[in-house]
Amino acid sequence: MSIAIFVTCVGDALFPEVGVGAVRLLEAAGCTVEFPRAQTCCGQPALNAGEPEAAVRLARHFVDVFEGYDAIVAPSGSCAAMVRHWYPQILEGRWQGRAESVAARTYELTEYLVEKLGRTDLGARVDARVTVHDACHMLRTLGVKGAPRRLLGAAGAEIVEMVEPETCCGFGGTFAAAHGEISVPLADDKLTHAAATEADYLVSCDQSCLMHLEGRRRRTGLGPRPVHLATLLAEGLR
Amino acid sequence: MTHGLVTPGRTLKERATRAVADAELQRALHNLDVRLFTARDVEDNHRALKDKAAAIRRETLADLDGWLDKLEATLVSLGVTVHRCATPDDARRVVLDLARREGVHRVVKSKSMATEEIDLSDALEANGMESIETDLGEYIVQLAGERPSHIITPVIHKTLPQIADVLSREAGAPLAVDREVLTEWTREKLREKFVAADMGITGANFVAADTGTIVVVTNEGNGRFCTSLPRIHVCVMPIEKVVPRFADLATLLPLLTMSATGQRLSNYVSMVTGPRRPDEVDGPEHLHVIFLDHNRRDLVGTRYESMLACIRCGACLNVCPVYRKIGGHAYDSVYSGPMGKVLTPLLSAGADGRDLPGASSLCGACAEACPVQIPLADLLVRLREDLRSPGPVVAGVPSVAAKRTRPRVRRLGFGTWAAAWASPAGYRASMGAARLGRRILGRDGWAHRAPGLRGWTAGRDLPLPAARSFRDRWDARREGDDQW
Amino acid sequence: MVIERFIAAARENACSVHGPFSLDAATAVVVEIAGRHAGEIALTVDDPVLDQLGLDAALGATADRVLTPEQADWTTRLPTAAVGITGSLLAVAATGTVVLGTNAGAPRATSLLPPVHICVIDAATVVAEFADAIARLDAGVLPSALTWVGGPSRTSDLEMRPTLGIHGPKTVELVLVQPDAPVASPS
Repeated sequence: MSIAIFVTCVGDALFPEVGVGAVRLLEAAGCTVEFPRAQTCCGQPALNAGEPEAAVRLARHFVDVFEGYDAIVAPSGSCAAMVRHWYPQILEGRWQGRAESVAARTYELTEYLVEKLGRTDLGARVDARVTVHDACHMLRTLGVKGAPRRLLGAAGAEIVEMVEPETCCGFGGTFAAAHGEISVPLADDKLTHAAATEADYLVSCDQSCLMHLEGRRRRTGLGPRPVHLATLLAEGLR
Repeated sequence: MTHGLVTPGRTLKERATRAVADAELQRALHNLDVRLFTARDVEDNHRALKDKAAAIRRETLADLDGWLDKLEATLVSLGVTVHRCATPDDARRVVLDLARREGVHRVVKSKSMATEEIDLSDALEANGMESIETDLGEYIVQLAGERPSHIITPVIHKTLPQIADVLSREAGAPLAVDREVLTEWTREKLREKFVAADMGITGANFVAADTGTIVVVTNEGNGRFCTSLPRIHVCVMPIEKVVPRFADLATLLPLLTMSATGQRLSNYVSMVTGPRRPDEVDGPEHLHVIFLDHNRRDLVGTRYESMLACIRCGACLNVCPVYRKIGGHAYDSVYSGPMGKVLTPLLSAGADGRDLPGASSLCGACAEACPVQIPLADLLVRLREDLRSPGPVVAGVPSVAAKRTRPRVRRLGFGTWAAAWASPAGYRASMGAARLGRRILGRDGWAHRAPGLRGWTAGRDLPLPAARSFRDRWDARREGDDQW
Repeated sequence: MVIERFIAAARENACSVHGPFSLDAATAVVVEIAGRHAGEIALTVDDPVLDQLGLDAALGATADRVLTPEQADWTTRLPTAAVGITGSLLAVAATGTVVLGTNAGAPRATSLLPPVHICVIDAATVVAEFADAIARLDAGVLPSALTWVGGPSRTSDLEMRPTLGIHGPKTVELVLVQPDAPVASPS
């Protein structure tokens, strides 16, 4: 059983601790993890910007890099959803079968741990009050909602649900920069709802959402500290 | 006179900026929160109905022309006059000619987005006729000189005091800021209009091909007035409103009302099957049905065909974080929210609303809420692609003054980026360059300002590349660093 | 069972529901409700249920106030009538809705213009689900207008809070008739 970690471009360059945390959690679950060094980006920014040709180029690269593995695990619901939902649609001809095959083996981290491996208690301990933001593509495209909560619960975290945990935080890729006038107030709503729970951490499984929320929080001081589930749980590994 | 689907000039971004800063609007928009979980209830409790409805809509679109032919034959056999109109202009002309020929002075209208789409009220008024919106929300919007901001709840953008102001101006005296008072005043005022109207104009929620039955759903009863009292009834029916069979209403009608308002069935449903019959004492003597195309037929067989399945329930608006934040007027389109973002560029063949699909976080709440399972978020992604070059959205649709919204340089930029990142060496090189930025901009890994990224940094700090990337740390581990 | 469900749903829709009654009791109730309101009473004719109630005769004491579609001035007098009395084709238990059909004796506006609508329902015509009603209608000849009434006219356009009586009737009184019902008296 070969397992590859796809740390995502954001995870590689900006938030390496997320990928490190993900690897540690997978190893705590007994997996042997490989990091294919040729990996770059899933191509989602290009697709969402209306540039499918660029996205296809990166998607093919992804397929080339990862198709030899039994499972591809990403600490990002959105990137996993790009592979699972869009690759079979945008890769055509001789690429389509390969895309479908890779898509079927690509998982979001908590989905893989909980739903595929059946693990919730990884030996991590989180003595904190947390609130969980359901990242959109993880929730709606992958259908994953319970897994992060079960992992946090097994680690002893107190989970306090905020108002509208399933409402978008306003990130949305290029939308966040192109429409800051909408994106930023949506972050404020999310941070306000999270603050009302008096949680220590605002936990999610998509570092892009978290970078948007933390970027805003650094301006307003509002809300609990946004942190990726992999980072938080890995810190609590004994 | 007419202003098409949108009024030209400002961008969505400018309108959205104003909407977010409008405290009264923000207060009003929160009233829509009561509908946040309406679609979820349908999903949880009526999943089978959704599947059945989606199947009926697919079946209809698979032979749209065939069902329209059948419907036309049925309607004609009932004594209904059918007008096939390719453009909004054609549809307006048909109604105006009819109204002039019949000596119509006063028209009462039941809420209909199709008549908004063709600017029918303005056309009637410009030709010397009185045209009165009779849905309370639409009436307020008309008095205020505005457009509906939501396809189901047209005046959701106003607070009660603002509504009282509008009605007080019309009353010529201050009316109390009280729902009962405002409702009663409007009842009396519009009652006079109904009784003296020559023509009633409605849209249609569904029209059954086998029986020729026009279905008009309301809660107020204004649809009943418009189809019962005036001697002429004109129904403006966008062509995708056809359903194959009367029996299909068993599925589609409850799904529409549950998704729209959470009601098991709306308060009133009018089902009109032909004009008044010879021995009857009321009902329209003449019934005209307009089949409005407006570029719809061209969508059949394209990647956007599923958009024609839309039953106009408004569920996607109610759950959309963007709509809830900026309201309907910021879209400056007859159709707003997620369905409006998709439909506006399509119906206008790329002439209008080219900046709408970009104003979405692609969160997918719309697609999840849609009772007929239209993949709205996916369609937005596709539209971003199809709108990047000037010209029509869909091949074969004539372009009407298509605007160029996106410079070729961006396409080039994405192409170059993809080319670089499709190779590990190119990726490494660009990551190295990005890390230079950290030394220039960052103190603690976050920047307050960054050249060319004001869109981000105007409201948020920007994360900078980490001192050691993941792959650096992975390498360190391989070299024996346990802490990596 | 289906009758109880219908009654509960119709009450949820802000209708007043009476019965089920025997024919005589139902007649008395309709006359009593109509009598509470000053003004003219618009009456549907040639309706199978209403004919059984013999409302023409029962409203005899107020005959000069009774308006029927055969009268030449029906159209001009109806807008000021206080009460409209109709029968119904069907009723739906799941939604609390009654279905009115149009014909020569049953104009569209009887249940629309007067502020009070009294609707008499034969309990045997109550079906469980909306789909059942559609199936029954589909099997017959459709009238030129079918009106499904769920209760008094209502709007939610004012800050999404329901307000009654915007256009149509402000009050809907549903009277259930069950000819073989145990004798009940109006409560």
